[in-house]
Amino acid sequence: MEKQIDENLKRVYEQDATDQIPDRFLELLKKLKEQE
Amino acid sequence: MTRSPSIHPRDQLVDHLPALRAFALSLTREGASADDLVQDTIVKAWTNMDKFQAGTNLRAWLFTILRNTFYSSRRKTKREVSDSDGIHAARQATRPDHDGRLALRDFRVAFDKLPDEQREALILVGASGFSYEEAADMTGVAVGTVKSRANRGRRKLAELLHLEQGEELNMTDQATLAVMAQNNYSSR
Repeated sequence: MEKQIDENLKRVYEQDATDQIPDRFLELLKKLKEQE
Repeated sequence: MTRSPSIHPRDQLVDHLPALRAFALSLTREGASADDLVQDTIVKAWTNMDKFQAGTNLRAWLFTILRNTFYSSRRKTKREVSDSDGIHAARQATRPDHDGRLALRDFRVAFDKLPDEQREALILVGASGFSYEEAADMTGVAVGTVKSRANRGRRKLAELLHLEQGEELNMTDQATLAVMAQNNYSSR
């Protein structure tokens, strides 16, 4: 059962982790870098 | 993960954004709050990068910042950010699952019902592949506590899914749950 649950956990997590990264984060990183 | 040590950790941040977002979603259960949390984490990580020990696990460090930020902002506002309506799950339901499995949606709804510390433990050790020791470090509790949180979370999930899911899972769960209930009785 533990295996089955962890497999589902991984699927849910990977699904979220394959979402496209919003531009706001990339812009934020760019801005932080420019402030250096 | 093999990375050239010449790449500054700051330049590696972007590689960890998807995982950070997934972790944030599992904690906040809601997209807008998750993104705010990731944004705060990026800024904190960037400005505190001198505190990161080179050669250690950057993802673990970032996850630690994220969960600390999550809990401290919750303490500050003293507002229970509850998602009893399953906003996170509802958001997910509007797009097709990778494998088209309806069961995954049920799983997500059940997962969102778990207490924070159980969701956190399960995401860290069950989904992200951190060891119990790493997860204990990251959450500032004993290894045994992480184990018991993860096990309680798994047990609760099995319980919730047992009510909502088909027979295939039922058969396994009934037997396993009986054994687990026995084994874990003393650790409750």
